[in-house]
Amino acid sequence: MRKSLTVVLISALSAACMCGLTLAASSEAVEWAGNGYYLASGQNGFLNHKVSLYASDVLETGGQIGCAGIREYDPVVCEEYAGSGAGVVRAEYVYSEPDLHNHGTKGGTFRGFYY
Amino acid sequence: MLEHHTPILTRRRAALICGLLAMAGILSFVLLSNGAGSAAKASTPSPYAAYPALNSTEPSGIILFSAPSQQAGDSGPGFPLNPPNEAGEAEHWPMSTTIRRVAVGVPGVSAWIAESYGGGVCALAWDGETPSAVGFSCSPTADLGQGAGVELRDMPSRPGEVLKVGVVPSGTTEKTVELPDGTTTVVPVSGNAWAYLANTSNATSDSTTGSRASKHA
Repeated sequence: MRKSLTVVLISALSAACMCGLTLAASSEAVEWAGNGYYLASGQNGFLNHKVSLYASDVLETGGQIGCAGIREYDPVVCEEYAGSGAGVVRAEYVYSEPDLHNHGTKGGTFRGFYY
Repeated sequence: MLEHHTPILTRRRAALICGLLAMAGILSFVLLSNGAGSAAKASTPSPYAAYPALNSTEPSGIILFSAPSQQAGDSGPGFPLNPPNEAGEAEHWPMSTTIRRVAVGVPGVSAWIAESYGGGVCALAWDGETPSAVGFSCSPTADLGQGAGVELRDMPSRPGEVLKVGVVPSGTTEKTVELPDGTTTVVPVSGNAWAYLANTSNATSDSTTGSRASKHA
């Protein structure tokens, strides 16, 4: 009886876990710019070393227009409105570095992520 | 002998049935919770009612991938099926299953509208280059009525040009766009979307998505 119950419970838990894992599969975000990362108006910021990545995005936290890109690969992508956030996504990994750009008229702080 | 085994078999059967019922319960919960969400959505006005472009049934033309390829390919535009794993970040990302194509008049450019995981609206754009890179920007929920816009700069395929793509609620017939030289131009809106391709070196030779574009100092 106990053995049967154990088998059944393990089966049920396994099924539930597999469901959960399937639903939760997602990209690993790395926050490379944060904690008051400041850029003057028009200034670019880089990670300063190459990593394997397929996406880069920005969240501005200081009321300016933020842009994100993958250096030497893709367009730099900017938000139209401050606070929206913006990003660029490729269908494949490249070996490069994420970059940020302050497209606003004043200095501001930004958070940058790559994936 | 039989009398001794029968209760054990019965118990095992009961345990098996209990287990199966438990699994069925889990499955039912998952399916019903999705269904209940749909039903709730159907009975309350959608916050996206002002964006009928989100209801398009046309193929989006964007490939949803569960994992990026390890090798460069010549595939068309793609987007991750699942959001980033950081909750705060995911709110600013387009919900992949809601991505719908919108028509823009800039040759070679594709654009999309989507809901964001955080309840905002998103604009996505691809400059037509392969391997592809899709740019996106999503409004916060509070700015759903404002729309969203994305700007692609330093495009390898279009040196010296800036592509602006945006989505706005129904009732908006034109969009004032700021040009690289600081002037503005008015771009027509069609199907919740607008787009503009600007030349960074000479803004007066810009092409637009429509014939009604005009420039304002």
